[in-house]
Amino acid sequence: MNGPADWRPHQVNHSLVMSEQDLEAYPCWYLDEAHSVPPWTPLFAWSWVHGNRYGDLWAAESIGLPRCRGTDWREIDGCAYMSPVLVTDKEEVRQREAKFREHLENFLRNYDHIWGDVVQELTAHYSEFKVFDVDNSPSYKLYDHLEQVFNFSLRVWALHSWMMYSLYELYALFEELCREQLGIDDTSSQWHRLMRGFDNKLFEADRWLWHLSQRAVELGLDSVFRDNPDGQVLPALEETEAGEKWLNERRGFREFIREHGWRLPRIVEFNCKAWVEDPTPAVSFIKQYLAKGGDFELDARRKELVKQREQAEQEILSRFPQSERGWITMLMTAAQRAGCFSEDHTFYFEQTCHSLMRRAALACGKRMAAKNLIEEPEDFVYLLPDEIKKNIVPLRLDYRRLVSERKRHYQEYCRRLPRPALIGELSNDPEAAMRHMLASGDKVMAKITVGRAVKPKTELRADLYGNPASPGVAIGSVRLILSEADIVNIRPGEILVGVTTYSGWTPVFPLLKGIVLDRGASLSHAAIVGREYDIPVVVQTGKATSKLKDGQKIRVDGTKGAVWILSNN
Amino acid sequence: MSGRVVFWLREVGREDINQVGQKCAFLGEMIRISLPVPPGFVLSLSAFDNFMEKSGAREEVLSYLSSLGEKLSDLQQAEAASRHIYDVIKKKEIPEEICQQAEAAYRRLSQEFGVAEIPVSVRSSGQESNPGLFDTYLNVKGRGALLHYIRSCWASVFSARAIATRARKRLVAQTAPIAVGIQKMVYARCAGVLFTADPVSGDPSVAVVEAGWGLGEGVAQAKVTPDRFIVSKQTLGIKERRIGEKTVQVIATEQGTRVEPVPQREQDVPCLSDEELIRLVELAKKVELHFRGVPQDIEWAVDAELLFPESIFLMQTRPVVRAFPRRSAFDKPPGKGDTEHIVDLLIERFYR
Repeated sequence: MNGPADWRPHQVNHSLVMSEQDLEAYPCWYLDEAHSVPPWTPLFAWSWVHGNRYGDLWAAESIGLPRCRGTDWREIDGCAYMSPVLVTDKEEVRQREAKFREHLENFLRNYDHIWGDVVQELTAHYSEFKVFDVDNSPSYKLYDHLEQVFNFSLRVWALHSWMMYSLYELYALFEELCREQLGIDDTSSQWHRLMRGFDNKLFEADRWLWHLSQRAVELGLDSVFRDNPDGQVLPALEETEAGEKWLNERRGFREFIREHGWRLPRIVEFNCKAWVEDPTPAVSFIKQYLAKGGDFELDARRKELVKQREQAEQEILSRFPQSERGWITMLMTAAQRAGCFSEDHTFYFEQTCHSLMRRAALACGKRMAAKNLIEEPEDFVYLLPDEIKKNIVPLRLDYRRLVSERKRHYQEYCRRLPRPALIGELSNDPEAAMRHMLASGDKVMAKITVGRAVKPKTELRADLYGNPASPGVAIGSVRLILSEADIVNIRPGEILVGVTTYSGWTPVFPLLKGIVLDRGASLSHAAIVGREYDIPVVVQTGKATSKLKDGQKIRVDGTKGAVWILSNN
Repeated sequence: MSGRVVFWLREVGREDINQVGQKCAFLGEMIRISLPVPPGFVLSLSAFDNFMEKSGAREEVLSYLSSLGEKLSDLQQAEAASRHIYDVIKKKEIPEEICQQAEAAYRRLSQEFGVAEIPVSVRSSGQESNPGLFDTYLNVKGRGALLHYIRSCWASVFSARAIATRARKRLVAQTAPIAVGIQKMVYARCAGVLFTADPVSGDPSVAVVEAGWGLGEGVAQAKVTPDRFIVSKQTLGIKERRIGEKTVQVIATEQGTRVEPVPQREQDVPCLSDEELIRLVELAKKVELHFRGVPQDIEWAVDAELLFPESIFLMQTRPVVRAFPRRSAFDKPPGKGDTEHIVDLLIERFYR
């Protein structure tokens, strides 16, 4: 584990960069490995820790989470660390209880309305932001736009945590009920069957991409995809009549980009182009689908998964006394929503919000680059919001040296991996650290960002042990995916091995046979999507990316939570 | 005198457990919500303490018990000790003040019914429910008999079972005080128990009623195979009806009670009418709801002379948690809404 000297930050400094004092303020800081590995550029790191800190604290207070005031966040060289803020006074816990009760009863009764209102609030703001002309508006208007978008992102995080805390409480309660009464928990296959067979906004995009690949075949355009490099496909299509039709028809490619193009290849980072700017990643996915052929995997398996889920629901309910089934059904439905929400929310929260933040800041980058204040527009990611703002009206500060120092620093800290999962007083006692986290009752940490300890089933004599997250067994070749840049390398039938996965990677899931991750828990992206695509997923192995190599043949058991290396090539 | 000696049942509630014991406090609770409970009064826990102290009984009993020590966990030894203590207590004088107040209350209860000496039941009421551990005396009439049986109830703190139980729990040195409930006697045509949840499966959607001829002691002490009815608490429909072979009954006599054979033609006839059964379940639901949905074990009786519905009486209620060892901590108490119950479970977890 790295000592304090290793992580002491330099180059970038803002109020939420971890200080010596911060380090001592909590018994333990936990690495958000699900999102901040590989490390972020300075602007994104800043907006993540500011947004999550505000959102978590706001949500925990407004819900009245009895034992937790939210999560505090800090940045260390592009990585996010968090720590729960505990309510320790018993009397205060009791006082918060009334608010919590009122909120949760309302939440349970009116979920559909509540979620509907949230979606409406978000989309109304997004539509307004989307029509703002970032390239031609006067600088003071662009300044105002940047301010508005970055401010609204705080609201997005607040609603995000508010929904998550509420739903995950219910998810965790249902899990506890099943564990105590039936011996089933969120690592059991039966649990996984119960939590899948649902549609969500991201699958809508995958299905649409698949439809576009089928249309390309129907219009005789598959050779255009095959014969051109990814980046040349669209210009080539524009040259033919059939290609123009494919691009512009109803449910055609351009409509797809308008609807689903507000996404960044790595949902949580500003340094890559959104699909609305450059739709090449969408083209790559369509090419991969064309190479695979056949029906859309999700649709083909959907009916079977829905049937299995309904069966699992019946089985589980039948094991409870008749008299209890009413409220248990209600709780089970709420728990199932937590899974759907996890995927759906990415579309409404991170994807669009981060695309719009990038768009506003990039427009500022363009203006600075035009005046030679930075080398190129994309350099905006190395600046903090205040630095950008004070150089938009008026434009006169030369940031080239600052940016080049930060860039060098960024490249250097990106190589510094892995980062310690825990830092602070309890970092040498992972069990105590886990207890501290659980004391907060913060289910989001337990189910997504940090995950829980693995009990290795050593009797399996496997090479790696993790927590089962989606059932089934698969044999295939390893494909290490450490960043979105590696995604294009995936070939059908491979097994994705990574630290974590992002919702922007969802379209490759139909190509995969299985997934093995260093981190994660039952509500992580890979777990949810893996279950929907019915491929085995093992999470929280700790060292899959260091132990497994590209091309190795492995056997993944998502039911037992183990991985065997079968051969080295 | 350290505390009040006499309380009327109609003036006590669950906050008075430490003055009048659980049984009487809960009877008071039922009176509060207008449920039919035979009227009466209580000799408080401090009356017991007062008696034990002033009469010198405590000192004598404690030194005797501590001389026996661990031997008392043996039931035979405990029985001998119990008989000895019983004699000690029987010979002690009840302090004058307690006598006067008990007599005054008894006189007043009698006057309320326009009789000189009203027949009463005398039951012990401890701070914790200890079904079967303490004694009950029925059909007690007159001042002398009343004081005699009050002393018997006090002595029942030292019944063989109570002594052995306490010895095993290493509680020898303490004497848990006991209150004594005195209520107008109900001459029951039939009586029994009612569980507001199935005592075997724990199913809280039904009430289970067991009934026998005569006084409730017959069913409570399992002297007969009672009639057994299962009633849906929601629809009040009778889901199951099993008529038992009720060969004997307990009846009141001038000197207390007696077990007597039931006439042949009445042995396999249901002793409760549907109307009475439904009424009982309705009342029991009110009790359960009042006790925050905790399933109740209720003793009831149907008076032989009064007309329905005045004939129905509730004699005692206590929570049955211990009767359901397999009942889940997750189960929803009756009367709770689904969302409310889910949130209750969540909140409960925050205090672990």
